[in-house]
Amino acid sequence: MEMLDSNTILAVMVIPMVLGFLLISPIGESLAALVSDKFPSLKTLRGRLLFGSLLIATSGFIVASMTLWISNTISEGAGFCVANNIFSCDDVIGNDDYNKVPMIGISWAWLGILVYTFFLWVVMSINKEPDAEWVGSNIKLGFMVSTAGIFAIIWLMYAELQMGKICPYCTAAHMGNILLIYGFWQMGKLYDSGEWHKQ
Amino acid sequence: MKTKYDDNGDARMDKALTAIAILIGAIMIISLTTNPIITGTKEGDRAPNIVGKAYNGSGWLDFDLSTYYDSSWSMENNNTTGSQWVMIEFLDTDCGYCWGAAEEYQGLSQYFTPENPNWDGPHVSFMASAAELTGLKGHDSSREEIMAFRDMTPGEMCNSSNQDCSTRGGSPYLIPFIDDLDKSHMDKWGIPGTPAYFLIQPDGIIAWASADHEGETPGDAIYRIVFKEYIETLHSESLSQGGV
Repeated sequence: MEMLDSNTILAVMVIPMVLGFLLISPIGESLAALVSDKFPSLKTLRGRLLFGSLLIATSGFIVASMTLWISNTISEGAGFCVANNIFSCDDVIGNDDYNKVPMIGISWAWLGILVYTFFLWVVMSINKEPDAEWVGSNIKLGFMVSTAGIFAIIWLMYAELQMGKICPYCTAAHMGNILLIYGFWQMGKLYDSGEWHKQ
Repeated sequence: MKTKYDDNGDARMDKALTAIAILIGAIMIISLTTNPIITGTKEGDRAPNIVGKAYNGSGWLDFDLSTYYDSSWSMENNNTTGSQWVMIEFLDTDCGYCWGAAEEYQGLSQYFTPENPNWDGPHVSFMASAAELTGLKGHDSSREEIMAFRDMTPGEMCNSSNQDCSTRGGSPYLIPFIDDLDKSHMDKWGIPGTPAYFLIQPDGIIAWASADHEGETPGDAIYRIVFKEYIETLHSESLSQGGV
């Protein structure tokens, strides 16, 4: 870990998230055309949405795990991110005034890893049985939970504003949540249109 | 009773198990590669931070306890770095026990410093956090009273408003006095009464809390913890260099 700069590590972790976003975005079709011979499922919008969302959820899970790792190592006094800088995970995650979920008391890093586990389950189960009768409700569930995440993101942005610091790892995890809102929304739209099963 | 078979049930269960396995795997990796220390006021905990205003003899300036810490410090390099230990006293200028302990604490605060030729151990930075314990007779502190208590200047009444602050034992303090008149720091640290002392390692971990060592003074604690470690470090270094 000491060999690489924390921002480089984050950049590597975020690559799947960027790819996932590109796949579920309007340019996903032309992008998927480049590899659709090897991955036939990417020829359909449903396939791109599911694979793209899976990439985002996986990347988000890894980033959330890394945030929890940082959260734990800060208490050892490790300086993982660059200190004395506006981008400092140490200062944000290490601030005991803001680093816990109000009322629940667990750290935000723990909540993040649990929520991304849920997203992984939702996307993987739909991916496994895309034509099952419960797919519609699972898509709605994913959309609702990811949308509820917006409140947490707003609160954490407020906390970062109060501290005058930004944690790039937290921001990446937030970005993953926002991208998944878009992914689940697109899936819901496709499902409601009746095109889902045709693909 | 007829059992309904769900053709699609296995996909959800299958992937739930997969997701849980991934979660458990991540947690195992994190728990094996880290050693989390909680923030609290027990020995071994990370000391809660204190941010506010402190009086240093010339004015009330911004104060941040975390600026005293050195995250690269370890017990093994206790004598080789310029890191400082921190001794903090939570007091009330109207508390009789704090009044009585002031002479000794002030003396200690000027003893464990690099300027003292009789002390060649690690630097211990002393500080005080002055609260107002409301609801007690004569406990009506203020910033002026804190300044008078620290500097031993006349005109303010300390010790339950019974004695002029300039008459306390010892000499004027040279250490920062943190404003905790609203008791926010005391409440955050969960301290029920004054005086309360904490010795904090240079990495921000609490090494000693007076509440857990009845009868042991801050000076005793520094000798027992800081100086003993210092001597052991010197001794092990001496052995590694072929000395006795």
